[in-house]
Amino acid sequence: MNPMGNSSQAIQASIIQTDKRQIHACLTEGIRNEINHLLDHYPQASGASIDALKIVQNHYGWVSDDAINALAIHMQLPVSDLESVATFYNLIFRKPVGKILLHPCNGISCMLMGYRDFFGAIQQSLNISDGETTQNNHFTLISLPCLGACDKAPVMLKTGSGQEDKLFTNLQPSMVDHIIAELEQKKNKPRQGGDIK
Amino acid sequence: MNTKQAPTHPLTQHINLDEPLDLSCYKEAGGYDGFKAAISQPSDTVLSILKDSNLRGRGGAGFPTGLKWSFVPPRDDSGSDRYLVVNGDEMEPGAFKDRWLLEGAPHQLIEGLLIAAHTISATVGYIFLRNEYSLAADRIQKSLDECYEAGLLGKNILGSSLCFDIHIHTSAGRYICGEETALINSLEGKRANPRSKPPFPQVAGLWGKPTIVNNVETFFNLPNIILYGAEWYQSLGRHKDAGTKIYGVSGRVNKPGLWELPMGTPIREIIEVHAGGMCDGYKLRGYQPGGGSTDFLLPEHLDTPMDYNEIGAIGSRMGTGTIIVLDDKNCPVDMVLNLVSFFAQESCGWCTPCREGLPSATYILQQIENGKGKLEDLDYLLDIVEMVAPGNTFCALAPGAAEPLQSGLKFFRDDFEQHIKDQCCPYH
Ligand SMILES: Cc1cc2nc3c(=O)[nH]c(=O)nc-3n(C[C@H](O)[C@H](O)[C@H](O)COP(=O)(O)O)c2cc1C
Ligand code: SF4
Ligand code: FES
Repeated sequence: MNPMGNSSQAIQASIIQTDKRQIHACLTEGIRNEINHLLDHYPQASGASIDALKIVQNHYGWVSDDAINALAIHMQLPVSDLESVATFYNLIFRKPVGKILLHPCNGISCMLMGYRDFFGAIQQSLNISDGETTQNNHFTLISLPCLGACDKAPVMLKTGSGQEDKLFTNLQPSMVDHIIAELEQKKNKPRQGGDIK
Repeated sequence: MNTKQAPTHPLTQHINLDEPLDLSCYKEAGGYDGFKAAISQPSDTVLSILKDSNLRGRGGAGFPTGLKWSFVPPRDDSGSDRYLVVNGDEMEPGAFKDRWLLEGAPHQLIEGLLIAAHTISATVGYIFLRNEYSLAADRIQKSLDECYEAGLLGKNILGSSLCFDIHIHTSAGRYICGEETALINSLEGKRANPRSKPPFPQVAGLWGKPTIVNNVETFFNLPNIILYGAEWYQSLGRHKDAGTKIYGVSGRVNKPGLWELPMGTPIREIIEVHAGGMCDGYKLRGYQPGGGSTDFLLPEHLDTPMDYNEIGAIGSRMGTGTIIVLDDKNCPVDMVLNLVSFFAQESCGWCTPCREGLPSATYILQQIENGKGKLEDLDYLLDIVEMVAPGNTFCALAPGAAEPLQSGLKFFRDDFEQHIKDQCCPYH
């Protein structure tokens, strides 16, 4: 018999313990339930990867390394698979973002209708450039391609964890201050139906 | 054949953007009659109606839907899954038609899926939506719940042998997910790199099983084709192609928007009548007939019917049918730059011509637009067009990016040359 048997079992047990703690720290019961429900939609667990990353992001605003490790254990998928998916898709954030995400559309119809002037005005008003977050963590500005509302160009989508999505349409630079003030005011109003159960 | 008055607007007759019809109202308006008609006939019969109707896929390529479905192998007794996928990724620049349908009449999409499920014996359907279409996702989910409750989804639907489930999958933002094999990889939880064909998805798609991917608008066509027949459907078109089509216009026109019109409606009528013509003080320079990945056309092409073959014959594509208008106060070089940089950013990076060629083209276009271009740059751009031509890349993304680039260089060459000669953009 292997003389190290007992202690290797102990190490094994402690790894399992750490795993459990890690999962519990990042993936609350609510998040796990939501993921488990989605696992039923696919014949293989990997199918729910993107959904799972989005559920985590919906809760925390972004997806940390710890969260990816915990997801890998919970879903029994290789960390590298989840990591490779998380870095491929534009809307999975691997860095913290502000409470409110502002996505001005830089698609072609919005550009033709004056996106640049609006975008200049909003950068100036928030004092940040594309991809940045305001110092108070209230806003992150990320331009997105065509948002599928080209007849109302230029447009901007507001999202954020725990926030209700809202599309601002037919934008003009003069509207920036009003929009920001309105969003500052409503920033703390929870999304209809509340957060993740 | 149904004796009820056939609708003039079969795609949009039930649309209500403020509050889409719930199940009982949809049924009262004749909803799910198409599915009931389908399920009372053998699947072969339904497939031949579809083939005879000449319905062509509305996702951009215009592939005949009935023919596509006929490649699905006949059902065996293994009970193994077969999949249906709705392509609702809609990230083509300047395309906004599927959002209208998805938000306005979710039950019509579900009815289309049920008809398809009966025809190809599918067991599971996925509705693949771009992340930003959260309102559509909420509304579709509500409609799905109603269907499960009413026995229209799940086991032994309406007492038949059909068992069919539908799930919504919301994406995480990548244009390439709209390419059907990339979409399949994405649904499997992988990076959305396209797959090589063959095998075609109809034979070995999602998890290696027979899979049909169709556009949202394609599914919307199904209920009325089954109810009113192939002949009626063919008679709707004004030219050679059948049915109606959602057309749209964006840019400096008086009434940008979307309309359901007979297939083959001339471009002029769409822009001048439905979109109300150009805004005061703006002239029409050119337009892309079917979204950002289609070749530019000129005012001289305005009398062409918006019909797959006709638009093809004058060197462009019907694409999504959503027209993007370029006016005389916007810079054509800047427009091409915006489009090419989008495609460069969205390249999945799998094959070299696209991964390397599109960023190079973007850089050169930036130089020209910023007044640092050289005349030989125009030849470089043409080299890149050739490098990413169909057949040289793994999927159609890069050839799609080349379409506005090559036609822009052809039709707006003077503008490119003036940028280089004056070393500045004359529009800014
Ligand atoms: C880069 C790329 C993006 C695409 N995006 C979409 C899309 O968003 N929606 C869509 O229906 N088809 C899209 N397509 C076309 C699909 O590959 C496929 O042809 C279509 O979904 C088939 O449906 P249909 O036969 O009903 O048109 C895209 C193709 C390419 C190459
Ligand atoms: S053409 Fe571009 S998007 Fe398509 S497979 Fe090649 S790299 Fe990917
Ligand atoms: S280009 Fe901005 S919504 Fe389509």
